[in-house]
Amino acid sequence: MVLQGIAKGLYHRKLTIISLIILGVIMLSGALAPVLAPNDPTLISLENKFLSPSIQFPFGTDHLGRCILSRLMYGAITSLGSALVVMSVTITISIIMGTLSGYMGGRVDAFLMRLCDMILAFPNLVLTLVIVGMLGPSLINVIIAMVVVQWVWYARIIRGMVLSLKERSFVLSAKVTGTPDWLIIVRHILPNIIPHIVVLATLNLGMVILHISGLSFLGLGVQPPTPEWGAMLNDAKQFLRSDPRLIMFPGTMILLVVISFNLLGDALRDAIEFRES
Amino acid sequence: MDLLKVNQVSKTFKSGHFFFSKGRVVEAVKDLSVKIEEGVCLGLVGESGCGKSTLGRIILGLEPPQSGQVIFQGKDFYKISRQEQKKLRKDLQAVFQDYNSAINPRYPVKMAIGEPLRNYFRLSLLEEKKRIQELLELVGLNPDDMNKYSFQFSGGQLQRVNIARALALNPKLIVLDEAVSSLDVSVQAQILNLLADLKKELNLSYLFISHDIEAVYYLSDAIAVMYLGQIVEFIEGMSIFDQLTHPYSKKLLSSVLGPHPHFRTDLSAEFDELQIKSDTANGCNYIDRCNIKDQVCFKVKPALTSVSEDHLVACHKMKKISGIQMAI
Repeated sequence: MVLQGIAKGLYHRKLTIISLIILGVIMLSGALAPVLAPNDPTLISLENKFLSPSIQFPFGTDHLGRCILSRLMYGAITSLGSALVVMSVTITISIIMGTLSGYMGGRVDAFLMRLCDMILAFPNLVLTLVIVGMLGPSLINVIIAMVVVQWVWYARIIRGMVLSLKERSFVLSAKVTGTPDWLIIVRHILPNIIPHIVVLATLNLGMVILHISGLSFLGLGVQPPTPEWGAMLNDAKQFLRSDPRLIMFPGTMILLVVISFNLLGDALRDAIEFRES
Repeated sequence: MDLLKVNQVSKTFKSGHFFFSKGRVVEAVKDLSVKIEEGVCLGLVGESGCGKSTLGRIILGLEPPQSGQVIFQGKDFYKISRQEQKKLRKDLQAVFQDYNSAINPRYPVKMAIGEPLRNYFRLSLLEEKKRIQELLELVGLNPDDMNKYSFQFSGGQLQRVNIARALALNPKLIVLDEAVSSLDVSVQAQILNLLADLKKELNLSYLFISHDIEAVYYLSDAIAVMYLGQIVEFIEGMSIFDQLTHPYSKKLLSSVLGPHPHFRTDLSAEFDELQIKSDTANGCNYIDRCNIKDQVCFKVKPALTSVSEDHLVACHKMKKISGIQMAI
């Protein structure tokens, strides 16, 4: 019923459909990269460097003679996949923490919120850099660092939502009619916050991709020769004047994915709000 | 035997507490005792902020008091184990003011009414459906409405659904926390009639919390007037309802608007909000607004004492007041 309504809301927007198609194509080509990719993404051949698009290299080659299209396809898994992992882990942790904090109140709440304050006291990016710096540069460590920094924001938002839901009459009525606390959370509180959080997460997914790419750009995330869009940007930046094609392709991909996720998030939010009004 | 006995409960809330500043302490309920017998409707009146809803929440087990006991069916609610609390809850249900948010908008009504049933009984789907339809019929709704969502009902219908849910477990006491206050007047009357019928039919007890003294008068067998967390007047036996003598009760009565424009009562209830003064610690709570106060009122706190059978008042001047009333 709820899903049907949301699906209907999405269907009526052309932009949403387009962004869904773009995301679908990118994810699919990433997943099927081993079959579809025309070349080995890590094969270096210096005689093929800076080639223009041709049949063998549809998007041309980079400064080390690697096929750009193949690298983009393989990179979709690392870029999108790691962003999705960051988001889902963040959301899971923050839902647990936020709900616990909001519902239990008292000391649990005070402890968790002071912890949040501590993390929030540092600028986002600086803290991420510090954590990656301590753990050493790698994709896993970037994911860990991003989760540590991000869950706090969502936990705060979720706590606020739980606090207001907790005083709503249907939660009080459930308490009075003898529903145990865990069932109240599962049945009454979570269904009322998860749709909002999904919207928020979709909207922020673009930002997470940018962050991961940014960290890769700084050389902290994905290590060469693994293909990743941010790392590709980093490699290409020195050839910005001589061969702007190199920076254009990964840049366009990031742009497309981020915009698509933003549009999708907007549409999801509209669909949910429409249903609730 | 008393169904519910509230023994000297107190509840204070702290606000604005920050490091060195002391913050404000609001005493929502102060040393309050009250009891409800089986099959009786006790009306609890008072203006907004006097603590009547807090008292309701304390009785419902939603808000532990700082001191005092809530004894329901001979058991102290806040002293027993969770399992025993759950057992007691079965006989203690509630209908809240905000009928709109009292039902989770994401589920059909049958889920809301079925919730208490599923918590306490193991019914088959068919039995549950039958019971839900029975309950809907009992509150005057169409049994087929069970599949509708809360936004498909009108206010009065929704409040009927809420009543149906409260009745699902065959409770002994229902706390009606401003249950008719947010309905429009004609619907209010219907709901009050329904509540009165159900009370007779199922031998229910009510704690009817309201700021509307007329609604309370219509439904109640006994009335307690609450001011600043304390009961200032208590009447059992509504035959002497018009003998409410405490100056605050009189003020409440005078705030009732008559239907006929020519018999408009003079609204002596001029605008003054509840305020808590620290220097009334010894004297009467009502002193700031009282128009018949005396020297004694500043020094001694009046206790709830009986003026006649079934009638208790907390006022030093009550004999004098009743004397005046006799004269008029």
